[in-house]
Amino acid sequence: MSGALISEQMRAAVGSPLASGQPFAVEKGSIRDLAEAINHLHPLYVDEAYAQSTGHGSVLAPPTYPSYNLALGAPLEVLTFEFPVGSILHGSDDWEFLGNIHAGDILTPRGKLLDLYEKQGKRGGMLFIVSEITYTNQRGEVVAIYRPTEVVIALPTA
Amino acid sequence: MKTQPYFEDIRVGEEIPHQVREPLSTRGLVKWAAAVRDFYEVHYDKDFARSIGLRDVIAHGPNKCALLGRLMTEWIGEAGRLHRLSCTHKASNFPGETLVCRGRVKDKYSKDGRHYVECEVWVENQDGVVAAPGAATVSLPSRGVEPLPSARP
Repeated sequence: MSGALISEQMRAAVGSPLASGQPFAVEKGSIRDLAEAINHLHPLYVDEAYAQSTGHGSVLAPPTYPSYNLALGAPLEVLTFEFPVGSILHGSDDWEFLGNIHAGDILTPRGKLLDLYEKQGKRGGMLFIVSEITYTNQRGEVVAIYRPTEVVIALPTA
Repeated sequence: MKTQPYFEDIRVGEEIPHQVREPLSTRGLVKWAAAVRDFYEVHYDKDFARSIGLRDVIAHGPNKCALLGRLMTEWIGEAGRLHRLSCTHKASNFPGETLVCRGRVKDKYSKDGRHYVECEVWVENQDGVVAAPGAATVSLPSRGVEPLPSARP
């Protein structure tokens, strides 16, 4: 099902794997940086002794931590646009939190192109690109699934 | 410290008794950019932002989502869990504005031993203009039941 913006070739790319980042170690410093950036210095995030006293092996990461160092542009690498691109906006965020993430964990992101759809906006056509990034820890447990949507605004054609 | 809310305390239709208010500054946007390594210039370079038609740098969408995460995790306390969180970015926010995160209970139900509360959540600015409407699902402890282990703040 193609439309004004979505070609057959683009439609065929749905389901393709995306280069959504390399495996990375969850570090106390990056947890603290994120906690500071949202002004949420909860002791579970920044106090190792407190975290351990409440049954955690190490400090806990805030829920949306896995998107650290995320390649939001990854879907653009598997799509070829056959229309003039005006701008690209970050449209929405959708998270499932399935397990705790602690300092010392190794997270592996695996991305895929989940969906494409288009709408007609006030300024012209809008292409919605939905990715899905699954984060798995070193024990093979899926700890989070993130589905961000990027919106490509098409320039009006004369 | 706030008191731990319990499933039995929750009334469908009521606004949750917690808000997050965060004044936006360019400095704060740079802290977020550094924390998540998102160095798109629209978030810290005013000249660049103006070159694409914005009046100033804008806050990162995922930053607003993370603040909604803070809203929910602060509210539900260490014995609650955040299971799902989503929001759509409808409007840009600029330094000088204050982001206000709020939520309202839509539904509550028990399933598989957990006590779920579904909320609509949103980020608005200081004038009440909604920038990021969304939804969140949490679970809360039930009175008289042993709390689940490995809680999240």
